[in-house]
Amino acid sequence: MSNVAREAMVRALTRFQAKVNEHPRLRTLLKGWDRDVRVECDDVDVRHGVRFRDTLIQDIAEDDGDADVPITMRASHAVLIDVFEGRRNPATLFLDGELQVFASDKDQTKLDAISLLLWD
Amino acid sequence: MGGSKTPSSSRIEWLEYVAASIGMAFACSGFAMLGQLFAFSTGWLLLVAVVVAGVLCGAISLSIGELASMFPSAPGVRTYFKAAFGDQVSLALTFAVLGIVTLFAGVESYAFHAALKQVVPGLSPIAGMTLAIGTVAAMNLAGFEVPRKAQLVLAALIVLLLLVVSGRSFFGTPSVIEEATGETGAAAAVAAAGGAVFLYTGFEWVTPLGRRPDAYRARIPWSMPAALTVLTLVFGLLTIALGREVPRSMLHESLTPHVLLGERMGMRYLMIAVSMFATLTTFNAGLMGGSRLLYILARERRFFSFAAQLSDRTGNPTRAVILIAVTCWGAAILEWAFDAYLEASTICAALYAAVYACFGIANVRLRKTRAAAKRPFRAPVPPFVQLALAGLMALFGLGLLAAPQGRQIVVFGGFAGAVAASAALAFLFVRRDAAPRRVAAVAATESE
Repeated sequence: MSNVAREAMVRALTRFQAKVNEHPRLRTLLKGWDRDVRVECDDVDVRHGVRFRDTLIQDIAEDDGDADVPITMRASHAVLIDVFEGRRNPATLFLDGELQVFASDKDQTKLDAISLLLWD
Repeated sequence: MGGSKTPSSSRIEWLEYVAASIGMAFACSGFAMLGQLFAFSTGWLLLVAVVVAGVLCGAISLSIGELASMFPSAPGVRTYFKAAFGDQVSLALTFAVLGIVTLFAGVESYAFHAALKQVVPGLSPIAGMTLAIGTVAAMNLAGFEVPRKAQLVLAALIVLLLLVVSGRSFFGTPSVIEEATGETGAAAAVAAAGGAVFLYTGFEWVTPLGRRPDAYRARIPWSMPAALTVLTLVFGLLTIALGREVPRSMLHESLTPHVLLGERMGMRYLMIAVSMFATLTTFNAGLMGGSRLLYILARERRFFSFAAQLSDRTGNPTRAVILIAVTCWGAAILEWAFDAYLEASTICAALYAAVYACFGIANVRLRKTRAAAKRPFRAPVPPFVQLALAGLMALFGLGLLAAPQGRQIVVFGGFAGAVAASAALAFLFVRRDAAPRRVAAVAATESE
């Protein structure tokens, strides 16, 4: 189960990476925002790190969860896949408590701004 | 990806949460309210009211801690109440909180002006209030955040200065010995406790600030009672010191009673500095939290969509910040024009008491409706006690509303108006969102 879930997550994140890196308006938004984001499932043992550097998603890698990161996104595997594939509105999921985002206010808004530009 | 977490960094992280909770509760308008409380009561009775309000907030904070552990990182008021009471009631309570932020901004900016005027005597109220709201709005628009370590230092400094100024008053003969005691009846005590709740409001804004999931097991939930313990101690000592040093008639006329105390203790400028720090931390949190809440509601189609606009450069909800700032400024001007600070702070305190009561009820309700949900933190308070505490909180709010002070018609009208406006807005936005779906459903049925 874990391997299948892991592969599905990598596919969703890779598609998300391609969208972010292609979107012209995101270059302005992500200027100076170099962050490591942990994407963590709360129902299966799947965890990835997404590295934002120089206005691009530079790298997606498996994450052991030991290091301290400025941003952690946490939800069920299905919810996270839906969020990164643009099927569900992260703002609503966040309000309903289905998606958890541990970050400063500024970083939370930046993440939401990314989803707003990509999908709304 | 950064360094690993050590026990000492965990302790610092917990202290940061405690400091954030303390910082959000300290406000210039809180000191103004403390002065007003001397109109209801004095002496031991007032001290008991201040302590009881602190203890009650502390007990309710445990319920809030449990809710936070169920919904980590969520914007508390909207999420908890939506889960417990449904969309419309939750939306009404969220609008009520936004109403509190607006009313509070008027009181806070005027109290800030009253403190600043003691250093800049020619400062007009409009200029002072505009400076307070404008500065915080500009900070928000620029995307500036007060660093967490700086918040910790600011909160520690405020606590320390207030403890020192209160403590110094105990080393001499009291200046005020002839003062008659205030009201001693039960109604006065209830009203004083209701007003004292206002001193602690804002402590729960720490709940969305957890840095990582495990912060909600204990660090965030216990940060609130810890902060309230400190706040109760500080406000308790300040109440005694004010009663010893400043005549009662001056206290309930003053918006800056702590500065009056500072004058007598040779710490006037330090108390003015306390006012500045208090406004900076609370106002920034209130305005920022309010604009974020408005933005999220707009994203959820529970408010006008123009508030969901973000700045391309900073990613900030620019329009929501401007809307909140302009509304707060408008409220400040109105409160100033009608000299309605006492009434506005009374309405805020009563509304907040109602909201806190709802937190207690929401937690008990969710224990029944979502019994199986994960709760990394469980309030060590039996449900019937949580309900009793919620009832007591509501009683304090009602007692404050009923107390003979200020223009009661304005207090009643303002409170009823705020409740009615919140309920009406919630009804309209829920209905507006449901309307297209109903049309679509009817169309689908007809096509069948």
